[in-house]
Amino acid sequence: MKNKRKIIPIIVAISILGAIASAVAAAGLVTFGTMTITPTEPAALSTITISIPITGEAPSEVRVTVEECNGNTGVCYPDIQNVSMALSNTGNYEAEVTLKHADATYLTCQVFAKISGAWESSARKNVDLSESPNGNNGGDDKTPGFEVVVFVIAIGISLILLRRQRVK
Amino acid sequence: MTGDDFSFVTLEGETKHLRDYYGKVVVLDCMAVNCQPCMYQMFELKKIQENYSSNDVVILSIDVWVSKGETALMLQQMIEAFEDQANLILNWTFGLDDLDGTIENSYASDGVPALYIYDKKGNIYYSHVGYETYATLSTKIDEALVKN
Repeated sequence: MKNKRKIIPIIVAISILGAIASAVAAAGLVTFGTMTITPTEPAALSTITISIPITGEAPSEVRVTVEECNGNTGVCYPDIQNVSMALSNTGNYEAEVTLKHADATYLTCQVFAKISGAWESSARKNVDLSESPNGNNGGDDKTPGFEVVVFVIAIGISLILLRRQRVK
Repeated sequence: MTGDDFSFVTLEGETKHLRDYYGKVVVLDCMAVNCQPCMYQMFELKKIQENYSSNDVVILSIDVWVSKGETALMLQQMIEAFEDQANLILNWTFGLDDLDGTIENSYASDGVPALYIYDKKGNIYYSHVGYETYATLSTKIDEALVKN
């Protein structure tokens, strides 16, 4: 968010989000373990694996939401992914999610488990994204990204095809 | 640019329209509870609320992620959490979009927070997607106030 961030609002915002999450999860019939994201610092547009142990009453359905945000511009994107999680042979619930936004700098994941028809939620987990291999993470620099290279190549191919057609 | 009229339901359960606020400059904050930058934005909106008369400027914070499962209870818990943990009383109008995401689709399809400043006639004077500082917002509010 450029230089707009101030430490106190950040701390307060995080604690407020935590307070809301814990208030929602207070009367839980299940216990959510520690959520892990692999890789630990994924790149934008990459595929991540989300894993979480859930103990207590067996949920009939488990889902995870993945929200992508850009901390430089201070915006969260509305196309939140809501993906079903499957019980793996390690006893954890797991899901693979492919990230959508090239300029996202962090993401927030939250797991929901359906118990006796009611949804219970885990704490939210924030994950910082590493610099994208496409060079577009953050979006503040002027370096052209992967899509620009693709665009230039596409124009080149189009020009070659047009020339061939004219020759015929 | 003319802002279309829209309606929303306040936390008190009252249906309100943008046209109800004609004659005042309106700061529309399309926000979501599950959005960290929207939480930072509250601190900037509070400064607006403190520095402008409610006769001149109205702030409307509308949760536009109702279609994504956010509820009046979550919004109320957020307001209470600000008061409990930051001693910040968010005493302006809070409301909710409908389940179809009507306001979200028109005003916040690129993300939240999405901020709009309407002049006294209900025309959009300024818009911005993402967190914005009090300094920028107050400059635009001042311009909108003298426009009419």
